[in-house]
Amino acid sequence: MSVLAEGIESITLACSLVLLIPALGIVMLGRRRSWLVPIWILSVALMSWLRFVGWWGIEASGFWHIVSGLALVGLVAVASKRDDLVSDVGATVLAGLVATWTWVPCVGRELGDILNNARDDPWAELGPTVLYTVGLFVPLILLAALGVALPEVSARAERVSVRRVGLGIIALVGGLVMVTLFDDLAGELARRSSPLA
Amino acid sequence: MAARIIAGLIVIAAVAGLALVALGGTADTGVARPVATTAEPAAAEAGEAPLAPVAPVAPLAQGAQADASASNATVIPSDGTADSPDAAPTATSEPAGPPPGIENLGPRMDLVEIDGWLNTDATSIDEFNGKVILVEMWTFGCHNCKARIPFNQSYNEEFANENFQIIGVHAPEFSYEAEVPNIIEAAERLGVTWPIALDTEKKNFRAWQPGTTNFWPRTMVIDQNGDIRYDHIGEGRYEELRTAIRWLLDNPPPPETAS
Repeated sequence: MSVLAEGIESITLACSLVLLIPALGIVMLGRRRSWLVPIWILSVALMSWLRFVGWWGIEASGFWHIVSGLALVGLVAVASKRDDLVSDVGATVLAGLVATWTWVPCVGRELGDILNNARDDPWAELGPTVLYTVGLFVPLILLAALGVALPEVSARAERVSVRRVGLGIIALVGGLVMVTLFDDLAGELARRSSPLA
Repeated sequence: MAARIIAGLIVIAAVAGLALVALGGTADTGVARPVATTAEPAAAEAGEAPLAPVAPVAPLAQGAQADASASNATVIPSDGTADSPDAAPTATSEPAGPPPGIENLGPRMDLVEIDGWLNTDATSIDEFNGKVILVEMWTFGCHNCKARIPFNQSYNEEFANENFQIIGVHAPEFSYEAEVPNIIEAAERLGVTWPIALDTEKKNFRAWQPGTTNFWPRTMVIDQNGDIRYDHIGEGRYEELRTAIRWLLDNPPPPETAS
């Protein structure tokens, strides 16, 4: 359970903003968030694990920033136009992969153990990686569950304007990734929330 | 209805998890430990001895070693394994072979295109050749990097009179962490007195961590021949690291294998 707890604690770390900012957009995508939040978490966990074990070998820089950022903006545009589950899932998965690709975690004890063991025993570290990711996104799970448990909250959260803001956040992430400024945005947010610095 | 009940249970579990970590996470989870500062040293582990004050950092071209004269109140855990910055080695006999974590990972790379050094007159890592060198990739805004500092301070004091050197490779994550005045201020505030190589473009941070998995903090120990003998990502295993340094100091590799 300590790996879950470390995931929860990492919510407060500046390093995690790169994942938490697009996650905020995902949870604002209307009633489909009940599906999208688990898909988001699994996408982030899978990409993290692939990087940790060394099976993802493409460096997040230059050309790939442009390609992935552009693809994300494009998928968000499609999701905005079609407003269906398939396009929302596509945007969610890609956002998860791209954000995790650019993520450089600050590593505590538990994540450190995962990383130190990952290359020797990749499959054994899949579960702990998922657990860490679940911890990191507990607020996201909370918001999604609140929407189901309390229909009055859900009604407010499912307004079209809320969805547009959510899509806007994800598109902004895509745009900033494209011009390699996403890290800088996270950094500026971290600096302004002073204790993190 | 069932979905609402399940969602309600998830909400309760999530709130409970957040509350538990917020209220008591430091004791049990091993994360979010208080960070020692020069003004108010704090125990890096709950229930462990406080740190002794360390000398303030001197920006640019000053001596690197911390004042080793300060005496620490030492707590030796009953099992000898708990991680405390001030924990004394508990083993009384020499291990037969290398302790856990020590292996030969090949020769170290150079630190290239460094934007400057703090806390030292040195201008290259080569000037520390022949020593056991602890190289730490860090950035001052990184919580987990800060959590390691009290332990590095304790190594710096414990091995101050031996053939040992700590080098911090400062690789900023965010732009404010790349500004030298901010690094100097943070080093002084955090009690980082050892040489700091400014790796502003993160070229060494990436080169020393092959592949795409680059992390803060990452700790490597280099032996007297320039080979990487210990590599650890993240916090933790502080006693293992202490033992590794001790063993490398006591068991230098044969000079004929020097690179």
